[in-house]
Amino acid sequence: MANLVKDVTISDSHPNTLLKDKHVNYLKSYSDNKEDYEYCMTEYLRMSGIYWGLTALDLLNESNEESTEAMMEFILKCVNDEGGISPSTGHDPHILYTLSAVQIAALLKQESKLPVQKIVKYIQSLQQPDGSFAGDKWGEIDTRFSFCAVACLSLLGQLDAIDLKKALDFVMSCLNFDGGFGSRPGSESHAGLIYCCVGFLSVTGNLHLIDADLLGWWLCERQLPSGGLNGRPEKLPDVCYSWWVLASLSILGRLKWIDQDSLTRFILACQDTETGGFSDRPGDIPDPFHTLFGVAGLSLLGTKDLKEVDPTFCMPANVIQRLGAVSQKLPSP
Amino acid sequence: MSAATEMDDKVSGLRDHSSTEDLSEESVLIRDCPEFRDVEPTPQFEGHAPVASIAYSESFKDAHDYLRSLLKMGELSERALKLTEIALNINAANYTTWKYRRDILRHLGTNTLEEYDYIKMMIPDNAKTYQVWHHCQKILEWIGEPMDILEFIEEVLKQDSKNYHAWQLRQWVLLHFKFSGTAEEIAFVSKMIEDDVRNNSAWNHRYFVIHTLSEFTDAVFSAEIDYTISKIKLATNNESAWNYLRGTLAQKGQGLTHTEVEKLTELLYSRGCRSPQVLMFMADKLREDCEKADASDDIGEKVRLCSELYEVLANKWDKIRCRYWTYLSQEFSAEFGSRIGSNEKTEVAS
Repeated sequence: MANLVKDVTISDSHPNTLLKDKHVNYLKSYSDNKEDYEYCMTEYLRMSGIYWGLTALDLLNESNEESTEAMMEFILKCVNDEGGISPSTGHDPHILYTLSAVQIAALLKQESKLPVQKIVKYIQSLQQPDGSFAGDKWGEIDTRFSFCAVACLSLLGQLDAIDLKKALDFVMSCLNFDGGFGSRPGSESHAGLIYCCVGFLSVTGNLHLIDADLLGWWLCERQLPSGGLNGRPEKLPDVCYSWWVLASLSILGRLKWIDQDSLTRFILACQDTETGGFSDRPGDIPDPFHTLFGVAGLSLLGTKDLKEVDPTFCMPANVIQRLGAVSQKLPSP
Repeated sequence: MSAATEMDDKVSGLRDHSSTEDLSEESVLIRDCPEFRDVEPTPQFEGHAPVASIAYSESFKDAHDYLRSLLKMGELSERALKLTEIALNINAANYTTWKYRRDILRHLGTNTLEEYDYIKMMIPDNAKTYQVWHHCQKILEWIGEPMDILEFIEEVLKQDSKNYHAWQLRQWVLLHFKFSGTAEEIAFVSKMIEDDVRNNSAWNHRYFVIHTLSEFTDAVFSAEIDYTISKIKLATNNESAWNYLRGTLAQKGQGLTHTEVEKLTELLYSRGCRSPQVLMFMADKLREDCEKADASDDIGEKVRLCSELYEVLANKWDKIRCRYWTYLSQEFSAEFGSRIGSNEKTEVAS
C-alpha cells in the first residue's frame, strides 16, 4: 500500500540564510499599522502578540528599551480588579495573557512594577480541586493553563503559592500510553501540549517522572523528510510545532536525536524574503507568532548571531538567569 | 501565554480573512439601528485620529465600538445578545465576547435549547477555534442532556477527522453524561479507523473507550490485539497502530511478548517488509529478551540480531533518525555487547 507522506518540499528557491534585518523591520513595523485589518482582528490576543514580537526582537539582539514605558503603562491598564491580566483594555483577563504580561515585564526588567500579590492571588483562584487550572473564570481546563500558572509564578518567584502536588498530579494524569501528553486526561498526545507538560515538569523540577526515552522517541518521530516537525502523526510540518517539539527535546536532553541540519533548513525556508517574518510553512504569509518560534527554534539549533533562548520559558536565557527561575533540564543520555 | 497561546487554532483570526470581509456588505451597521441610539460607541484607540476607514473594517469597528460600550456598562439585555452575535460572526475567536454572551444568557434565562442550535450553527465555520467548543460544552452543562451532540461531532469529524476540540468534547460528553455500554462508541471509532487507518486521534479515542469507559478484560485484550494486528497489516509503518499495540501490551504488564504479535513481525519480515516500525518492534523485543535473561543464558544470537537491526535502521531504513538509533545501539552494546557468541554469523536486514 502506498504510504504518501504528508509533507512539503523545500527547493533552492527558498531562503537558506537568516534574514535578520528583515525580521527586525517586520516586527518593528507590525504594531505601527494600528488601523490595519490584522492588527484589529487580533486585539483579543494583543498581549501575547507583544510578547511574541518583543521576545523575537530580543533574541535577534535588537533592543526594546525605547518602548519600555509605554509597554508597562499598557500592561498596568490591563490588570483587572482580581489581578488577572487581559489581552488588551476592555477585554477579560485570562491566564494566557497574564503570563504574556509577566514575560514582557521580565524581558524589560520591570517585573517589580507589577502588582505581584494580586497576580499571584488570581492564579491561585484558577486552581481547581483536582489540581488543574482553568484559563479564566469560565473554567476551560487544559494542561496549557497548568504550564502558564507555574511559569508565571516562577518568574515572579512565588512558585509555592499554589498546591504544587495536586497540580503535578493533574499534569501526570494527562500522560498517554504513547509517552506524550494531551490537554486533559484521555486527550490525544499533541506536541504543543507536550511542551506545556514537559515545561511544567521543568519549572517544578519533576522531570524524573517522564520516561524520557519513550517521549523522546515520540518527539523524534515528528520529523518529516523535509526536516520540519509536525505536532501529531500524519499532520503537516509547521514552524511552531517545530519549536514545541524541539524545545521539549532540548529540555529532555535529547535535542541531538533529530536531524538538526534539515530542521534548520526547513525553518529558514519559512522566512518571507520580501516582508521579513516567518510563516508556518514555506511560501505562506508570515505572522509574529511563527516569527518568534522560527527565531527561537534557530537559537536552540545554535544559529549564529542569535541570543540563547531558554527552552522552558521561550525567553532569552539571560532573563531567566537574572530572575533565578528554575528551568530544569535532563542531561544528555 | 506565550508559547502556548494558540496551538491548533493558531491565530485563526489571522487566517480567515475572506469569510469575514464579505460581511460588511450584508450586515446593517449598529450605528444605524434605532435600538442602539442611546449608546455612545467606544472606539478602540482613544486619542488616535481615525484613519480613513477601509471597507472591511467598517462593520468590524462599528460592532466592536458598541460592544465595548455595552460591556463597560455591564448591560445584560436582548440587544446586547444580538450584538454579541454580530461581533462573533466577525470574530468567533474573541473569548471576551463569548463570556459576555454567557453572562447575558444567564441573566436573561434565555432558552438554552435555542442557544444549543445557535452554537451548532457556529461551529462548522469556526471548528478550529476553541472558544466555540468551550461555549458548546457550557451550554450542554446548562441543558443537562447530551442532546444530539455525538451525532453532531461525528458530522464535524467528517470535515476534519483530527479536530482536537471535537474529540476532546466527545470524551467530555461521554464522561459527563456517564454513557454506559461502549459497543456503539467502539463501532463509531472503528468506522473512523476504517476511513483512515492512520488517524491518530481515532486510535487515541479507541484507547480512551477501551480503558476509561469499559472494563479491560482478557477477552477485550485479545480482541484489541487481533484488531490492531489486522490494521497493521494494512499499513505496516503506521505509527498510531503500533503505539496502540504497545500501549495495549503495556496495560497487560507482560512486556512486548505476545505470540500473535511475534507471528506478525515474523510474517512481515519474511515477506521483505522493512518498515522502521516493524524493525523497531523486533529490536525492542530482542532487547527486552536480553534484559530478562539470566547472566548464564546464551543470548549471543539475540544481541547480534538486535545490534544489526539498530544498524540498518540508522543507516538504511530510517536515516533521518540516525542519531537516535546510534544512541540506542551504543547503549545496548555497552550493556550486552560482551555477550555476543564467538563465531556465529547471522545476516539480518540488508
